[in-house]
Amino acid sequence: MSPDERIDFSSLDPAREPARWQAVVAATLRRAEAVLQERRRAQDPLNLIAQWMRPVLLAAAFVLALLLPLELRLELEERQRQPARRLASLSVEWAAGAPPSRAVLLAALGGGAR
Amino acid sequence: MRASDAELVRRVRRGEPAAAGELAERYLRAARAVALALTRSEPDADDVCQDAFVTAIQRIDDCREPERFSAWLMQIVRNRARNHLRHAAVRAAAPLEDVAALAAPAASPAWAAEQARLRARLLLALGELGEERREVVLLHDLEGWTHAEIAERLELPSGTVRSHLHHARRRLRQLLRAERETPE
Repeated sequence: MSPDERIDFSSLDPAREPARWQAVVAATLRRAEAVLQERRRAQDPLNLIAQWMRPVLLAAAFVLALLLPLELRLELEERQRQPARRLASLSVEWAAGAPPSRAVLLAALGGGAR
Repeated sequence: MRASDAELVRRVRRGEPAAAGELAERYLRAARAVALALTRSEPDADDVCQDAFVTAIQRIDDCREPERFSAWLMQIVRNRARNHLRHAAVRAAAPLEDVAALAAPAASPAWAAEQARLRARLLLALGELGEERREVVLLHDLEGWTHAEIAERLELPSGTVRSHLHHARRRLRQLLRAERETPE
């Protein structure tokens, strides 16, 4: 027998047990299909947008959480400053020769005292 | 027209199962042969080739040369097989209990015993060869790959493939003849 003749490996051929080999192939393809399904899901445009949107929304929520107390504080300060501004404006009008009525003056003073 | 490996890889990247099926059709048997060359156990080879193929599909974006998919897959098979040997643990890969239940039922007990004995002899003899020679002889004589295909897909020089094949066959014949001549 020539050393370059094929060795008979037929007893190791998976095709000798077709049902068994087909089951191995089918199991492999099932697992590959599951991987590809996940891949398609990840590549779906809506998913891509959702993936992109999620961090943007998170960042927006974070910024809002930071800015909201600041906005409330500024608004409160503004509200506190309003009576003083009103008094200043009445004083200017008074100095210009247009004295405010007693009711207006008391209302402005009352607001400032609050 | 037969799609190239590179085209199939591109389609797998787009998530097409038919392309993965075509790649399995082309290379799963060869992957098993390479796994068998390393593990020298058919059930382990079945596990390893399955695991390696699924890993290749999972990591398809890492296949930098899609036209050389088979060489890349065989490298994954080798890594998996070595890992398998190191850990020698049953993988959670396949429902192989189901597969085992499908083992050839039809043959006579005497024939089945003879086949099992032949398989054991071949696997034992293969164990006497180096890993590369085992791969080459199995891919050529079991899978029917040509010298050129083996050289390209295992990334070996063509002369090395011929030499491996020649020496592997000669050594296997010696071992099988000696085993036959040894009284039981």
